Amino acid sequence: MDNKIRIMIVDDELIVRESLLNWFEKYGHEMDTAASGLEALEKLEQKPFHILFVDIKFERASGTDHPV
Amino acid sequence: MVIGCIATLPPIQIKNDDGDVIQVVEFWRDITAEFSDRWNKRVKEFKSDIQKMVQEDRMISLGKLAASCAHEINNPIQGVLIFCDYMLDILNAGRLEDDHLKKFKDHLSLMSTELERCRNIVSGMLFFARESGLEHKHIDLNAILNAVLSLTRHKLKLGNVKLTTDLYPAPLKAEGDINQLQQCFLNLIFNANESMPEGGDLVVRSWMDEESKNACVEIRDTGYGIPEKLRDNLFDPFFTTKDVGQGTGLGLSIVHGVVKNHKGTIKIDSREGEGAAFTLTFPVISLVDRDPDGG
Repeated sequence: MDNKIRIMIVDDELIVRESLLNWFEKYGHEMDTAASGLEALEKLEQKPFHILFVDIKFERASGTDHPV
Repeated sequence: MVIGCIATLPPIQIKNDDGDVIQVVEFWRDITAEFSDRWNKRVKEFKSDIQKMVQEDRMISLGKLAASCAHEINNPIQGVLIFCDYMLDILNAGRLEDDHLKKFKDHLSLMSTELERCRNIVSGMLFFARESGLEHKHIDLNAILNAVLSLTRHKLKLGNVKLTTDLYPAPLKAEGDINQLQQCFLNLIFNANESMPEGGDLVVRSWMDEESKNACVEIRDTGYGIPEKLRDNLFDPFFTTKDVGQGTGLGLSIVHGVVKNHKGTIKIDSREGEGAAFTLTFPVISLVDRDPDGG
């Protein structure tokens, strides 16, 4: 059974997504990223995540608008 | 021909023995020669007042921009710091593989791009903050709009305002003062942003009106709009509909002063509850007036 912790970084800034993705991967976590709340919701429909890091402010939406 | 004269002393009445006024003596001074000097002095004072108001307003704008710019810089810096920690950890562990090298190259490239973005934001702020005297020269209205938009882009994004730009594909050359025009556009963008507290759409357009030979700039929002009854006072100094402490009431009077100073016009198109559009026109420099180097 896969015991890896699945984490998703949701942020519209590429450097924030990429840096955190590499950082957490180094510790062996299973990582994914999304550039918008909508993209994050689509990915969440595919599989569950243990932890989400969500930016507060997005263009046209807020990280608190889409509680996941 | 006398075009200007001024009474210098009160009139003296000459009366007859019965006390009736039979003559009035008035003393007048011909000020025709002084008139143009006075006029020029007044014009100079007006320009100086506008320049002082613009400079004060710039400082207020800087305060408004500081938080969003700091946020915009902070994000990439955080990313760069995480990348630095991550790469140092791998290097210190001494387990560098070919795959790491390729990744490091990509990371460094991204870090470099992001640091350049930070540098541009800081340069934009520094350029905006610098104090300078009135300097009329050949300018490109599109370049000024782009500079203002790069300063305000993040603030708009934080306010859920979607920005759309449609700028004339060629430079729009006019004669003017960069600082004043920056402040003028900035005030209109701030007002648009503040009229959409829940977010909305902001469209910034520029075009060339071939018929009138004017450069046009339009700033259109989907905010509160301007009620008909307020339009007559809109450009009055200290006129504001904002709550106490929320606005100085100088923003639009500065816009008006700057546009007037640049021989331009302002047109307002607004419906209450549907938004507002400010269209500014500025006379462009004709080809024969331009610098030989095209500046």
